[in-house]
Amino acid sequence: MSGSMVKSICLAVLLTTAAVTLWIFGFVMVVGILEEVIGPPQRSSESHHFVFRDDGLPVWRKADYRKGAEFAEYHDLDGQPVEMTLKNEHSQMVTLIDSRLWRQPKRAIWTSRIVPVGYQPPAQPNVGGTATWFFKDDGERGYFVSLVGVKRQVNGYVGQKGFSRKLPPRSDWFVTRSGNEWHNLVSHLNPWDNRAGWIGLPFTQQVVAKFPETANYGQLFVEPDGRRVFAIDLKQNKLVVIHEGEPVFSASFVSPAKAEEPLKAVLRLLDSLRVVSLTKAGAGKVAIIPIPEVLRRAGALQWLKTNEGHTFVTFREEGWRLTMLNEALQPIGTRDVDDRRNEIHKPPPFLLLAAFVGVQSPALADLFASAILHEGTPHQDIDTSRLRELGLEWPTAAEMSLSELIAPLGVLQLTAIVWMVLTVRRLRRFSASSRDQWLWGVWTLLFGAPGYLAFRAHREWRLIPVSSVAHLEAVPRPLGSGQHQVCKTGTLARRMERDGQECPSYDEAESATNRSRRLIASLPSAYGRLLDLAELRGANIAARVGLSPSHTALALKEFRLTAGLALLASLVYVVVLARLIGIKGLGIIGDWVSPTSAAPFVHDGFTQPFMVVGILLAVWLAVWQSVAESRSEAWLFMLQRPVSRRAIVLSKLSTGLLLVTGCTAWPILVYATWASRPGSVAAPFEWGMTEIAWRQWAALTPIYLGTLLAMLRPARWIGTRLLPVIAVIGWLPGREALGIWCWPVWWELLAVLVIDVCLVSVLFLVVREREYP
Amino acid sequence: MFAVILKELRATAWVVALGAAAFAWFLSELCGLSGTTRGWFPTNEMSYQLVTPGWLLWWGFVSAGFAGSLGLVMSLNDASCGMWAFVLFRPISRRRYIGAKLVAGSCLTVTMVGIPALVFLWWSATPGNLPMPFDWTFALPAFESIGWAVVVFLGGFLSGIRLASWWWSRLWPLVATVILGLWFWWLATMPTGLPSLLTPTMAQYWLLCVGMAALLVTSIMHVVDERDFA
Repeated sequence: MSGSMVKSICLAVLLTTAAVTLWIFGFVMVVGILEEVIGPPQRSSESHHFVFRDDGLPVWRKADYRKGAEFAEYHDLDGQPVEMTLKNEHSQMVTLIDSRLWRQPKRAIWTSRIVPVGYQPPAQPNVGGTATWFFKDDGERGYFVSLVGVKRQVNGYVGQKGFSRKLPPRSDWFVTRSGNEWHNLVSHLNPWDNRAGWIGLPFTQQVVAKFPETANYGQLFVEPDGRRVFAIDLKQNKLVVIHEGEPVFSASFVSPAKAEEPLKAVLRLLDSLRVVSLTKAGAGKVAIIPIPEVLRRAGALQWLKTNEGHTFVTFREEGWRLTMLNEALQPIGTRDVDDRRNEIHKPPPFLLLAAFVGVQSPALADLFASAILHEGTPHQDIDTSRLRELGLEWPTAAEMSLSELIAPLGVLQLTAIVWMVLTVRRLRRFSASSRDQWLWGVWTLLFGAPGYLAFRAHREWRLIPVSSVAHLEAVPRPLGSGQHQVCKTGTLARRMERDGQECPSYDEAESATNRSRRLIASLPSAYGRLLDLAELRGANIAARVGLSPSHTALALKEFRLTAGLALLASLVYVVVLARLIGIKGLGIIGDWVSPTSAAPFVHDGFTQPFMVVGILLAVWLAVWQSVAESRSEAWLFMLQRPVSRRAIVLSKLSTGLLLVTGCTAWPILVYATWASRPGSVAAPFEWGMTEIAWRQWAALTPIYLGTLLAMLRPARWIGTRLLPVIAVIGWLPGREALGIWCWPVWWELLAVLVIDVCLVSVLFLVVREREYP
Repeated sequence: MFAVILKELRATAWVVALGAAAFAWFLSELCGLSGTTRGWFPTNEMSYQLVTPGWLLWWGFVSAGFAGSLGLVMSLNDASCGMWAFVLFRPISRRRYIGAKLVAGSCLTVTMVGIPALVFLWWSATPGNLPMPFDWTFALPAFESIGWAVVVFLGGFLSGIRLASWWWSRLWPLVATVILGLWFWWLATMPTGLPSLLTPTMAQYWLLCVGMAALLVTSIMHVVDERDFA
């Protein structure tokens, strides 16, 4: 394989990467727009939640948001109504997920290095400020550190030996990593209960930790091997070891039922739960609750103290399994509960098909499918390989099965075959080598439509017009190839010889092979024709009003120069207005422009995008008008015309000012007209409310004139040349600061007019005095 | 070759000045000296700015904007007034000339993106400036952005030097490197940004940077060899 071919393939790989990236990016944007236009599927207002009554009875709660946030109906598992309210729901269920299963972030390792864990109010009110506690981990060992006050000075540290004002020696830090095992830090601000929903546990948590003032122990620190557990009170700067010995796999807090009860820590060991009371004196009474044999391998286990004993909840693919123990800790039975919540939705098959076909890159789609099937757990926070390694149980059914993916992947491959056929057909038509046909055929089979786009971008087809050689044929070659290849044989040549046809001319071949480019080029061509038409009309109007031909020519030249900008600005304003009046499909703009929901022009989002587009238009227009004359010394040509310099500048100024004021006035009028129609917006509207917009509109003319002055005035860029621009843009904050916006509107317009007149006078002076080019 | 590098530094000084101004503005926002973007990004006292999604995205945009512009300017500045014919007629090979451009541009990109990152890290590591302890891992996303900025520079350079229609595929390399940067650098640094299988590790990320850069340099050299500069 030659070096040139290797480089050509590199370019092909690069273009394919670009095409695939752009294709998928475009596809995602189209999907986003369609989703917004079509809208999300209508969901029932009812939702079902599985909860427990405070005595431990499992019940279904039916909520209906249309009937208010407090509405709830309860039924037991047999469907019989149960008399209870939200206050009777059990608030002490504990979720214990084996901490070895949490996936460590691959790249964002800083998320675990500095963790805010709590606040400590000042010892005396208004003295020192609130201290913030962080846990700082260097990847092997870590410590708690407190920062206090406005200056964020270090207040103290907590290591294995307790609180200290100075950084403890590294040997006294907590061990945070041991081999493949990580520490487990549980905060009362963020107990595992709150994360149950995040990891896809099919259990709706209603637990709001209610910690009375007596609950001082805010942190549980479990060492990487689980052999030692610390309870740390960051309010009192106290630390106590509450467990040593058997490994602890998970830990959490259980909030006290009554204010006088102490806070409890729940530790999950291999075969039992240890419930440790945390008193001011340290670790108190320890209760041991055996975990039934069948539940010991559960990756996630939920536990609940009931009136009759204890209930363990484990989850399955279809719902939950309740395992009950009596007061004597003897198993008294199990019960399976099917999931009837309506929050979980799978995409309908046709959407899945559309998504895969839309991606259009079989190789990439296969990778996605592999990722979907490989994950195999309800949530990406769980480390699947660790799950297998530890032999723990978790509902391992993937969110999608292979059988569901076969059809979309098959259809995708079929579409890729179409692209492959198109590619090979094109290559054969131009007698490409079989190596090229194979290479690009496989390529488009792998990358589908983006692969075909890359193929078209990478190859060009050119006939060499050598009249002395009969029956030449075009051959494919890399874009910009320096060596012209000429092939005397090939299918096209043979076919043409057979049919008695002449070899196509260079122009014919070009036109045959550049259809797509011509299609794209037809857009500027259509724009040019539109300009011609407008120019004709403009010339007729100028003739009617008696404008001299020389001045008409100048005005039309400026019109041709600036019409594109006017069109572009108008298009942007159309998008902004469409978003403001709530037309769907423009959510991609984001929050920069929001649909109007309050008083138009006063409390809506009109002014900001209006001014940004207006300023860009004014500045760009001025720069473009001056640069167009500076390029290739066009000034010298212009000034030789039989018109005065003043007329030339006047034509520029009048065209530019007309364009700036016109292009920015119509959005105000259209928006105001829409807002004035009854039913458009749920807010009152008066035409006087447009005054704010008109004041801003007027401020755009000095910006245009100031920028034009900066462009025309010869001076150093790093000096005084930019001063006019700075001054006129400074007018915007200046009128706010000086209270000019409170003046009567005509006064402000008059002030702007005075500024404009000054700028125009200086412009005439500069144009007359400066040297060209 | 050194003369070519000096010439490129002079020719692109205005882009560097604009980039420096953009980074200076961004640094002043990060350090709280300027408030023009007040309300744009969510402010959380308990998080470090250059690892939070909003700030990091804007950092990426400023870096990619500078690098892409530099690449385009560096590849197009010889196209005006028939300069290509002049510079390629010097007693230096095409490859060495373009190589000098690439070296100068890459060094400029690394310097211009790296220095602001270092300044902010130094400022934030100084006690009393930020309401939280400092950890060296906070520097990782900022330094990873340097790697991808070089890729974006090369993408911009290839877009400029490769002859194709601006309406069609000429800007593909630049746009694609920016979008891939959003994926491999920005989304991958979010704690739950991507499925694990699709998130590159730090080593894989740098491999991707080097691989993409090698691909781009090879393609640039291929275009330089094949292109008719007349």
